[in-house]
Amino acid sequence: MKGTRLILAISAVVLIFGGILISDALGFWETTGSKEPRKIESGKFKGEYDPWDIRGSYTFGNVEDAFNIDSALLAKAFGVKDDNPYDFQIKNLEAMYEDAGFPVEIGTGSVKYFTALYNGLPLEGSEGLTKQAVNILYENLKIDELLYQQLIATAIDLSGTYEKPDSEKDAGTETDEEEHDSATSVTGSTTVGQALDMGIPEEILAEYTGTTKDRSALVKDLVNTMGLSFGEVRTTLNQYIPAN
Amino acid sequence: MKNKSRWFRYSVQIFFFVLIGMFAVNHVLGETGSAPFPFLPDLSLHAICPFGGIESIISFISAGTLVPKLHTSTVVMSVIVVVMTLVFGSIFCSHICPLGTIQEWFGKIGRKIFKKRYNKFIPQKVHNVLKYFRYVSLILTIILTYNAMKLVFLEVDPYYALYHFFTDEVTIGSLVVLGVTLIGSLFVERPWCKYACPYGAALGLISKISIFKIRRDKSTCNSCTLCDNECPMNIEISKKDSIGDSLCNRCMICTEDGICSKDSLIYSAKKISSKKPSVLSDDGGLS
Repeated sequence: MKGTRLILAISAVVLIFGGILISDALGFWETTGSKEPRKIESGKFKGEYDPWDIRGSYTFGNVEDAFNIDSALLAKAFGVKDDNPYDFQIKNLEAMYEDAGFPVEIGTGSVKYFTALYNGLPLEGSEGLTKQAVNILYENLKIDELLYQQLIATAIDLSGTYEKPDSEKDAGTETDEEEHDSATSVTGSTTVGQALDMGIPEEILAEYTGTTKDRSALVKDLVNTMGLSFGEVRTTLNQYIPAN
Repeated sequence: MKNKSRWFRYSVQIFFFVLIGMFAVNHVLGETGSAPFPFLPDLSLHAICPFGGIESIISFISAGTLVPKLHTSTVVMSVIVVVMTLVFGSIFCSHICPLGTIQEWFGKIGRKIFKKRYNKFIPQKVHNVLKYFRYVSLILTIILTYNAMKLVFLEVDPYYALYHFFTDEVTIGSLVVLGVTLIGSLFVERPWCKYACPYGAALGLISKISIFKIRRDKSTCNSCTLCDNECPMNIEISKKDSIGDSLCNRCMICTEDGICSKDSLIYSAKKISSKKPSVLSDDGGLS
């Protein structure tokens, strides 16, 4: 039975690593999450993404993709000064503000709450918000006067913007802050036609999307098909949008 | 010389124990930019835990999404281990699981202290009742995961504590469970595996229908119970035709030379009859 024990030992190793290699080749071996929140299962909002399933490992871009809230707007709401807010990981908010001494935490819960309010989705409690976030909600007619007064009374005034911690900064240099709303900047839901209408030169767009023939195709999908990072590409594309 | 061939299994155990430890340390220290093993991929234990795969499947069924912190890799690991178990039985527990390995190491200390009394402190009748507690553990984990949609087991998970005891991620509950498990291992072989492990319970059930099982040749067995005494999992082998007990993790100790003087225990795919059974032979093929 000595041979049996050797076969079992080898089989254990081979099956584990062989299985991993095969699954990797088939594209099943993902060691990071899908970055897609679960959907609401019942009620009026059945089928909508659940903002309360947003996780700290998500980026503003993931929230933008699921909830159609511009990542630049999220960055503004939470005082994130980053030239690529699309790739900003939400859990970094806690690190940014942990020493600020705020009476309430500004973090992942805040983004969940903001997202739920922004899209009029069910609330599962309240979380700390910034004054900037509350103002955005109010200016965009997402909350009424009464709720605005309630939220603004306890909201945190960031008094400007906070920079990413050094460890989180990209190698690139920080550019002048340039904000676009979703109508004048490339987002996850921008189509080729919309991008061209914004004034992005067709040859530049085609360089990153491969084609501009289908005006209804999403820029994000085409960029991903090219194997490029949408977060980086959209930053580049936004620089080609003529200032009004 | 009987222990010599055990080193095949011991080697695999050490390999996985060290490898998983390197992944854990790499991941924790990697967050501060000082990963000691840069040649290894950055993997959290959540990404490679096969039990996480079961929790993932449960949460996917209940809510259409994976449990936070878990990824498709856990499902892959789960599938691999299930296939492995369907063919060979619970060799994941005996060859790969680091928590099983460290319990065995503590058990060796206990064996030196208590000698023949080791692993005999719990009467067989009590053991026969206690062993069902791991099914309670499994059912509780499934129900809580289904309802809470988070890693409920993490609060008391000794496996996670084993590799994260030096971080602030570990819970007091899991450290206590790990401590009790290791101390218990000084008296009883693999107490966590026998009485509490939900994953072991699941694999044990699957291994009941595994292709290869340890089988007893009644025509040659004289029921001397030597195999019973050697079984780390306290299975009464001498009373069974095939060892379909869900606790059997295929450590193969009972089949070693010197345990059964009649060679009545065979690791085989077919039931033992008057004809010669198919066994995994020494040259690696079916005979």
